[in-house]
Amino acid sequence: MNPFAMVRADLRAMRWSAVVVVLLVALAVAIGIAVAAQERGLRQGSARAADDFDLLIGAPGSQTQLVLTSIYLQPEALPLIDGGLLNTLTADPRVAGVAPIAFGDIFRGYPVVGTTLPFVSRWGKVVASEGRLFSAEAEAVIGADVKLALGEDITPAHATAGEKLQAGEEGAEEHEHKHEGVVYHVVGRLPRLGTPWDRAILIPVESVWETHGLGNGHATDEAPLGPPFDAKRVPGVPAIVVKPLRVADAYQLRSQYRKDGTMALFPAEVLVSLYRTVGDLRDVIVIAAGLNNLLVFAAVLLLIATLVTLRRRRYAVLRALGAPRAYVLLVTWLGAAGLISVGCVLGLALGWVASSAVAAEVERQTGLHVAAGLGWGEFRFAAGLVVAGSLFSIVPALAAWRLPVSEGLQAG
Amino acid sequence: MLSGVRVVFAQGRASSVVAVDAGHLAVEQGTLLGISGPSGSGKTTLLHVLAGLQTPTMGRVRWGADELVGMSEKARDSWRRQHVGFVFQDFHLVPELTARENVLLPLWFARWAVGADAFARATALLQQVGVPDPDRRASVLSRGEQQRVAIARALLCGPRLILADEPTASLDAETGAVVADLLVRSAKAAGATLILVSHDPAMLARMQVVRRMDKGVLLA
Repeated sequence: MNPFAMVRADLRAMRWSAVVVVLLVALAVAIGIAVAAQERGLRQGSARAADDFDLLIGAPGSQTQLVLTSIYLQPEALPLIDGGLLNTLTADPRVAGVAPIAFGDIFRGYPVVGTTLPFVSRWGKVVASEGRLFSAEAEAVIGADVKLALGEDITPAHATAGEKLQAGEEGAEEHEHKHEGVVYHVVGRLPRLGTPWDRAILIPVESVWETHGLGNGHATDEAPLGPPFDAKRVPGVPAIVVKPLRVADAYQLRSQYRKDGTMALFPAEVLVSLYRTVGDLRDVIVIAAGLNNLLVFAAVLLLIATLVTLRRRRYAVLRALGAPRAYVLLVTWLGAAGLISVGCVLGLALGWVASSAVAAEVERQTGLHVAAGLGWGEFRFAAGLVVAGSLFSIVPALAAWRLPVSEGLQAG
Repeated sequence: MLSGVRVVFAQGRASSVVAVDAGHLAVEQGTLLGISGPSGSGKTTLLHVLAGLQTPTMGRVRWGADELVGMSEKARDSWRRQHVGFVFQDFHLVPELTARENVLLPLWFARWAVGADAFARATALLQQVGVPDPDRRASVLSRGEQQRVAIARALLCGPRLILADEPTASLDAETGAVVADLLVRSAKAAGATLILVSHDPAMLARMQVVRRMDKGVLLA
């Protein structure tokens, strides 16, 4: 038996109903797909951004805030810790790398971050994609997304905590708080990291201190960049990032710097607890999306069942012409399952488009690169819906199968 | 041959209504039989019983060696597909299919592919009944043309039995006369038995035998 001529005829007869069914299913599926893909992408993207931050040390306060400010460069005024710790940690045998993170200034909305060379090169992992890394005070290296040219001179301004920054634009606050007379010279650009640091302007921490009238942290003006900072009083920094030598060292360092006026944390651990909170929210959204799918599928099947009943005379005629029950069952089942399947596939595509759009917006706002691609989970979800939809399509098809022929022929 | 056929509709627990009491009806192969009678007299129900679409409450329906009443539904569907051509008052074409697809439709009930010979036969049948363009959608055909397509559809499998339910009632007199003529001619040419239900005197006048039904009873 070949049901396709009748399936085609039935779909043609449905016209807009068929389009509506496909779109309803596609939208319902797309929402589920987009939520799942986006949540996963965001989790992976934010975890990757924290990759080079094994251990953070800051002043006691909010752990989340220290993570958000250091890793995601959300502007916030953090209390400072003693800069002398940099020397102590540099000398510590358990430490493979240490660098200060000194923020507080901006230029055209880009955060200006003071640090030392080991962290600019991400512990030796990256080299400048253009130009070179800084080698003297008043030199700056820019992130991949900073819209400045090499050789340009910039004058930073004091950032205001909580200010909504628009990357690439000079806000009113920024205009009023310029550090007059301070000029940094752009000497290099970093490759793309896919993190908010792609929008940062990196300068030697010494320059940050100088700009704020705290000296350069060294005993002499001519001292080379970086530790040891041998000034009588090393200026403070808001955060120190430490790369411990071994895992055991990491735990020791954390417990050591958890007391006596400092706070130490593993950003990965803070993120995990954040994800747990977000994960609960995600579960709620996933359940809501699931219920939404269920409702749409139920509505669609009801619509198809109604259409089948409305067309009972058409199917009764087929029976009168000699079609077995199985033929009518196959025609109606294929029609319904086909529409639902097309909707699911379209929903997969729509979900990907929606997820990409959201990812692009997240990247535009935060600089965080979110991989919006569809994973196996999404394909399995869509495939599962196709199977479930096809199984449930048997319901309207059974309605057609049960139609009594003689009554159907006499139906209006 | 039809004997002792009764169709009873249950009405409530105690009472029931006898819709059709056909008594005995024997039809020779190749006969043109008309059944007349007012609306609601049970003509259509009788036709459905003859086609095996409805199982009578009692009695037997036998065509040649085939006993319909005892047959499984599947076997009856197959029997109908092979031996019966149906023509309805309202044509009942599938409007979204072309004229030729409508004619070929019964073949798809049983097989996957329709051969070139069947395709050619459908085109020839459509020519024969006066529908020159087989690729037009059924929905754009005139009523007369639609009934011609329906007759071609009924003839495709070379049926032994053609059943027609008021085939001219939805057509104007002139078209009706042409269609009636076509139906009778086709049945004769195919050597098929034609049983038609009608209250169109012109149509009935072309039948060899006319039986009348009244209040469900097939009169002698």
